[in-house]
Amino acid sequence: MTTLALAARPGGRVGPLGMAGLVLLAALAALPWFSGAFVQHLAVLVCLNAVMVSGLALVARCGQLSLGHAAFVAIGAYASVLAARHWGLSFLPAMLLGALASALVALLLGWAILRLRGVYFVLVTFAFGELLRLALLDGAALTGGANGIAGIGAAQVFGFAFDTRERFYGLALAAALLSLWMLHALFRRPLGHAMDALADNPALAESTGLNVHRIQLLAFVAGCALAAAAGALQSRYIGYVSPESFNTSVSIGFIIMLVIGGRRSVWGPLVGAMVLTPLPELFRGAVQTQHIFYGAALIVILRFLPDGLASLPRRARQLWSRDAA
Amino acid sequence: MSAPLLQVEGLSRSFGGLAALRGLSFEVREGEIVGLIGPNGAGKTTAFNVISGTLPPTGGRVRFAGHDIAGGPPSKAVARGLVRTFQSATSYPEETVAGNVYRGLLSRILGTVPRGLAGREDGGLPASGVQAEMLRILDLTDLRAWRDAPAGGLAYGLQKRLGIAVALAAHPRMLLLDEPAAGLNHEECNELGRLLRRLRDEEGLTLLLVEHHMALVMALCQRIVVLVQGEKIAQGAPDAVRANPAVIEAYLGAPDYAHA
Repeated sequence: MTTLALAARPGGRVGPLGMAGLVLLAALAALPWFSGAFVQHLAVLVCLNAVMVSGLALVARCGQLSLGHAAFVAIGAYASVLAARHWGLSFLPAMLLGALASALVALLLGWAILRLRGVYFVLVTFAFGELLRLALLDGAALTGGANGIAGIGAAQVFGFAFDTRERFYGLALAAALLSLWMLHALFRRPLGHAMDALADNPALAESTGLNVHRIQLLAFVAGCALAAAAGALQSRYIGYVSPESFNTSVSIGFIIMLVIGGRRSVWGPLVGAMVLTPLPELFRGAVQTQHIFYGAALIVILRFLPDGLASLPRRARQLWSRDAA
Repeated sequence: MSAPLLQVEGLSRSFGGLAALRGLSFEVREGEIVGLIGPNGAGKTTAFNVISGTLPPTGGRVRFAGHDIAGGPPSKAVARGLVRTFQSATSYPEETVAGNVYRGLLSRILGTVPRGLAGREDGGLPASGVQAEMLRILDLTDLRAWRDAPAGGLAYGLQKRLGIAVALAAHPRMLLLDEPAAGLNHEECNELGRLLRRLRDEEGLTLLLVEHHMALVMALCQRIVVLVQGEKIAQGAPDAVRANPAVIEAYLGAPDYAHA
């Protein structure tokens, strides 16, 4: 008889295919250091997006879809930049402060609205995103309004400045790997299993003693803090923040990355960011048709690959074993 | 006689103008099996949902083991040892049978801080004890043979038994069973009766069941509470309830039906 199914949860072992995938990923991760500025730029954006979408994935794994995720990225970016500017905080404490500010806002908002289900939660997070964007536009004295804040200095950690693309890519890659590892570790632990359980059947999870509201709130706060940390990083890389960098279409972009990458896999956010971040850059000349393409891709994925591109290896294995049998 | 484990006092619940429960009071003592019966629409499910914390009451209170638990959330009641099952077969269909029981154990497995987050203070289960506890519950409910089968593919009777297994995993002192026999055939129903009796005798559990299956209720329960239009019209031993003219009038109908 096999051992109990717990140890053999998907992702527990690394097979030959998985090893090949990891080697490929390592090669891809190293590639930007041997490439031109454009590839490096894309690679940085992929890493930052992967962190932001990982935050969204944490919220979504608990069964809720946020349409205001960009707002929490904005809170992290603005709070860290303003803290550095007005209080002279160095990069790491400023980033931490940005993440805390975002976590606090997420705690207050989530406590009030996480009892809403499905489309109502989506609508309120959408409204919150717009509200925050308008507040940033309106509070010009502090936020610079529509002009945003320019001339943000490079990130410095212990005296080391991440002031070139090569150097910043190292920082962004570390952040992406760290967030990936954190999610991977979480979803192999009972708390992660509890999150999956309450996403599958909240009423049953609650009736076996899991406080659904508190666990969803924890995931929402952590996911928003993660997004904020990435926002702080992004502001140092771009050197500029403005309210329009965090509008609803950015939030929608995160959702598209998550769905196309894979909602139920820790790898989904990374895969989604890798596939979708370069596209707008490559199709600069076709900005208008881009959204049609996204819509079509989303429908195709949801219809034929509901667990996203990250589920392709598993699908391939299933097909393979069916053919072999 | 031991102090009551569950005390329902003057419990009321209205939906808009409709009073689904009107001042319901009853008690369940430790180790008892009590049935809650009544015609459709009598408020049984509402009573169930209010007692388990799924719905807040509009009046009255629910005390379990000396603690006020009305108003929810249900996980608060579970933390005290009051666990419910669902009327329809409710499981995590994509997980295996063992995976379902594991998820039932989760509120006890979580580390101290996440356990507090989940609303659980007691019943902690160290990682080393998880497998043994899972096997114990699978054996107790005779589900061990299906432990690697996906829950969604099980026969209906097995799915309902799995629902009880998942509830047991949450470490109850008392189980609230919402129509456990609904949809079961004769043989499955007998098995259920044996299981419930075993839970009381061997596990020391207290049971409250809402049930339409009169033969099961009469054979199993020491006391029965009869609910009609949100009000308790009778309570007592099965024989007394069966002979009660008001109960026959409102619910049981012709005496021979009561023996069915």
